[in-house]
Amino acid sequence: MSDNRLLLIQTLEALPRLDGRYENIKCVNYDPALGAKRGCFSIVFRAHDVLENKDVALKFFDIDPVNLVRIYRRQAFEREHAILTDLKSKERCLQLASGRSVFSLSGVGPSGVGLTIPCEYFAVEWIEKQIDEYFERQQDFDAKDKLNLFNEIVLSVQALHRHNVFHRDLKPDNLRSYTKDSKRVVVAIDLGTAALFSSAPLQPDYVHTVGAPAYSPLEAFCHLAGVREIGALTDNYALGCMLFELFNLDLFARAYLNRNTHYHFVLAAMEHLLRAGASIGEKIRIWEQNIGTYSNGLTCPSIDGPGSTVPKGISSLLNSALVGLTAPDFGKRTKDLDRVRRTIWSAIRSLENEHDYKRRLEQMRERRRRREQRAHLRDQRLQKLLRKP
Amino acid sequence: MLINRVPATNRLLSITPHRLQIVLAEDGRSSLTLLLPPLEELAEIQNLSSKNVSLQESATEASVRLSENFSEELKRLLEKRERFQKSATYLTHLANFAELARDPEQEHAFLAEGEKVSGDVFFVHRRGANLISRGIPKDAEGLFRSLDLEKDVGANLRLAYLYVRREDLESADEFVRKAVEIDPVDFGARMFKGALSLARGDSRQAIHNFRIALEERETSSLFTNLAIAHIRLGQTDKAFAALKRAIRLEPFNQNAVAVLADLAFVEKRNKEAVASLGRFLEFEQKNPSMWARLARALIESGNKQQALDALKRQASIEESASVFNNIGVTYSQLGHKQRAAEYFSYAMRKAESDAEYSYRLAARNLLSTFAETERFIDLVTVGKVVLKTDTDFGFAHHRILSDIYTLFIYGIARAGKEQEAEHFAKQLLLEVPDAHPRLRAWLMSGLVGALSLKRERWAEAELLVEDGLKLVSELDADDFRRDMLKSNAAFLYLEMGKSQEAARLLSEISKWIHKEPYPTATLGLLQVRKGRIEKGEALYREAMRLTRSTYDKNRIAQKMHLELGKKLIEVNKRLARRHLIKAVRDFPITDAITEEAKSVLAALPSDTLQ
Repeated sequence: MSDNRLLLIQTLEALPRLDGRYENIKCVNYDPALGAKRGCFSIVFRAHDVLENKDVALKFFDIDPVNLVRIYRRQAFEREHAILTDLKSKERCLQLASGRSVFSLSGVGPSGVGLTIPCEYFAVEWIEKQIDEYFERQQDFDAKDKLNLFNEIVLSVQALHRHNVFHRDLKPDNLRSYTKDSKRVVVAIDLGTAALFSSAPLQPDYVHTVGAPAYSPLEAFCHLAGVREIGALTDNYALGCMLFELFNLDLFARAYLNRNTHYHFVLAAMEHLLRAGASIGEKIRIWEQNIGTYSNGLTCPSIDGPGSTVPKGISSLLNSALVGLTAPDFGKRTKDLDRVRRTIWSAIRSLENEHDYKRRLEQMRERRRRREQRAHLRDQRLQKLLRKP
Repeated sequence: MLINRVPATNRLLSITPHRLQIVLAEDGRSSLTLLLPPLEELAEIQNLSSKNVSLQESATEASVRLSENFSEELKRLLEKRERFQKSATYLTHLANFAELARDPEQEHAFLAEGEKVSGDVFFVHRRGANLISRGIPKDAEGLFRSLDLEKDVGANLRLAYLYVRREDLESADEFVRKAVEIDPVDFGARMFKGALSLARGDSRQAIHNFRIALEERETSSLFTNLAIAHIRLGQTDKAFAALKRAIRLEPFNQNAVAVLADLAFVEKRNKEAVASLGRFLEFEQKNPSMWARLARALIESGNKQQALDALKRQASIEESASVFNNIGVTYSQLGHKQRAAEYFSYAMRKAESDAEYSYRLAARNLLSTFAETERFIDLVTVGKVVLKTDTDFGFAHHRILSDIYTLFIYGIARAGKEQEAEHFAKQLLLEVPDAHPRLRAWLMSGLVGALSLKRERWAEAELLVEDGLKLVSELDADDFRRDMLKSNAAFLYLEMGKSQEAARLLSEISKWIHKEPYPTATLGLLQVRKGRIEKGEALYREAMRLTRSTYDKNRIAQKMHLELGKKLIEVNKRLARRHLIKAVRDFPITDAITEEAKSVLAALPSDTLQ
C-alpha cells in the first residue's frame, strides 16, 4: 500500500470532524489484513453526516502516486460525480449527499520537506443493506424470494439505463437494498466505472474489461469495453450471471468456461480480429461479421444443472431468460429488460400457483383424514352397540 | 528401351500424419554444387517466422491474464469468510475462483470444506475431478466408488474415464453400460458409449449412440466422432457433413479440421478443406502440420502459387527436410525445375541422416527433376551416391523409393550407356525377385522395349512379357506402368509378326491412344505393318506431337522413317530411300534401328539414288 493512501486513511480516521459535518470516518474498501483494496481509483469511507443526521459514503480520489499520473482515472472520478449529479432525485438510483470538495492532506515528502496534497472527495448516501447473502447463501432462500430480489435488481438497472447510464461493473457486491413503504428497493452503487451514453470514452482502446471479469461478456475482453452503443448490453450480461448464481452453487463464469472449454480460443480470435479495427465503427463491423462464425459452439450452462436449487417447474422459463441475457453475441443478447421481468413474474406466479395448489391439496387431505377418522369412530361406536346384549 | 517414361515429382508431399482423435468425455548430402540453399528465399522464410500468430498461445495468454484477475477476486471473496463460512455456495464460489486462478490445491481444500458443511455429492464429484486433474487418480477412484453407482451417472462415467486411462476398455465399458442403464439419454453417457464402440471398431453402434447424444446437445467433438465412424463405414458424404458441422461449431477444433483435410485429400475433394484450413490458420499460424495440409489441398486444387506461400509459412516454423522437399515439389509443378532441384538438395542436407525417409524422398525427387531437365550425368552421379546407402535393397522394396532405381537406370541409358543400363536392370530383376511390382514392371517393360529390336533375343523378351503381364494386377489401376508394359509387349509382338496378339494388347490400352506417344506410335506401327501406310504415318506423327521431349520425338521419328522406308520399297523406291536416309542421318537415336536402316539402304538398287 502506498504511503500517500495510508496517510490519507490514518489522517481521516483520526480526524474528529471533516468539513464541519462528517464524523466517525472509517475506511471500508481496504482490508489491512489481506492487503486487498476494492475499486481502482477511489478510497471509500463510511462517515456520519451530522448536518443531515445520517450515514454517508465519502468517496476520495485515490492519491496513490500511480493514480495521480493517470489522467483517465482522475477523469473517471470526475465523471462519476457528474453522473451522480445527473441522477439526482431519480428513483432507484444512488443519491449524492454533497458536492465535490477538497481536503488538504499534509505530510512530509521524501526530502523531509512539508507537503500538502489536495484530496478530492464527494459524499453519497450510505445504503446499509447488502444483498450478497442471496448469492453466497442462495441455498437458504426461497426461490420466490430470490426471484423477487432479481426483479428488483433488474428494476435498478433499468432505472440507470432509462437515464442513459450504464454501470459496467454490476455484481452482487455493487448492489444494496433499503426498505421503502415496506417494499424492498435495490440500488446499484459504485458508479466508478459507469458511463453516460453521451460521454466520450476515456481511453482510445480498452485492452482490459472495465468491470469484474466474472461478470463481463466476451466483447468486454475484446477492445469494446468502452463502446457506448453496447454499454447497456454489458449490464444485461451481468444480470444473466446473477440470475444463474441465485440458484446455483457455481459461479456463472466457472460453469460457462467449464462447458465451453474452447472459450479462450474464441476470445483470442475475436480480440485478434478486432485489434485491426481502427475506429469503434469498424470494430463493431468486424465483430458483426465474425462473431457468428466463431461463437457458434458456445453454449449457455443450464440453470438447473448439478447443484442447482431451481424448482423444476420454472427451470425452462429461467433458462430462456438466462440464454437471452448471456448470449455471446451482444447483437443477439436480450435488450428488453421488461421482457426479462415478465419472464421472472411468470416464474413467480407459477411458483405461487404451485404453492396454492399444494396448500389446497394439503387441506383436502386433512379434510379427508378427519372424515375417515370420524367414520372410523362411527364404526367403532356401531360395533360397540351391536356387541351389547 | 530403358528410356521409357519415368515417375514424375508430382504428389509426393510428405505430411506429418494426423492421428484420429476420438474424444471420450487426436550420404547423399553430397558434394554437388547444387546444394547451396536458396538464400534469398530462406531469408524471406525467416522473416515470416516473426509474423506468425498462434491462437493457442494467445488463448493461453488470455487464460493466464484472466487467472490473475480471478486470483484477486478470490482474495476479495475471502474477506467475507466470517459471514458465510458455513455456506456451501460461498465455499463453492471460493473453490471456483481458486480453480479459475489455477490453484487446484486450494480449490480442493474449499471443496472439502463444502462437503463437510453440506454433505452434498456435488462436492464429491468436484473433488474427484480435481484429483484427476492433479494426477491423483487412485484417490479419485476411491471417491467415485464411494458414491451410489446404482443411481449416479456421473460417478460411473468418471470411473469409466479412469479405466480408459489405464487402457482397460472392458471395465470402462461396464461402467458406461451402467450409466446408460441409469439414464439412457444422458449426453455424456451416450458420447462415451459411442466412443468406446468406435474404439472397438463397431462403427454402427457408435453412430447410434452419437445420434442419441446429439439430440441432447450438439458439440464439435461429438460431430467429429460421428464423422470418424462414418469414415470407417465408407460413408464419406455423411462424414464430410459431420465434419463441417463440427467446424461450424468450433472453427479451431484442430482434430476436426485435420480430419476434414485428410479426408478431402483421400477423396480428391480438396477444395472443400481449403476454407476451413484457411480460417484455422488465420489464427493458429504456428502449427506446421496444418500449413502442410493447406499447401497440399491448394496444390491438389490447382492453386500452386498459394500452396507455395503456405509451405513457406510452414518452413518459417519448422526447418525440416520434409517441408523443403514439399517446396521443391511445388516449384517443380510450377515449372521452376532449377529451383525445385535446389530445394530438394537443401532438403537432403536438412535431413538428420541419410536413413531418414524425408532424405530419401527428397533424393528421389531430385533425381526425377534431373530426369525431367535431361541432366543425366548429374542424375547418375547423385543416384550412385544415394544407392550406396541402400545396402539391403530396401529402396527396391519400397513403393515410392523404388523410383530411385528406375530413375538411375533411366539416367544411365539416357547418358548413352544403354548396354550398362540393360545389364543393371537384368541383374536387379535377378537379385531382387521380390522388388516392388512398380519397379519390376518398369524394368521388364524397359527390357522388353530394348530386346524387341534384337531378333535373336525375342524369346527372352517374350518370357519377360509373360512375367510382366502377371504383375499388372498388382499395380494401381491408374499406374502408367501397366499400360507401358502392354504397349511395349504389343511392340514386341509386332516386331515378331504377331499382329493379332499386338492388336489385342493395344485394344486393352485404347484409352491412351491419341493421348500418350508410345501407345499411339505402336498403333501406327500396326497400321503400317497392315499396309495402311497413310493411317500409320498419321498416327506416328500424332505420337511425335504428344511427346514431352525432343529425344522421344526423334526416337519415334527414326522408327517411323525406317518402317515407312521398308514398306515403300516395293511401291516407291525413291521415297523409301528418302525415309531410310532420314532414319540413318537425321534421327540416329537407337543404334539397332540405325543399323537396320543402313542394311536396308545398302540392299536398295542404285537407280534409286537419283
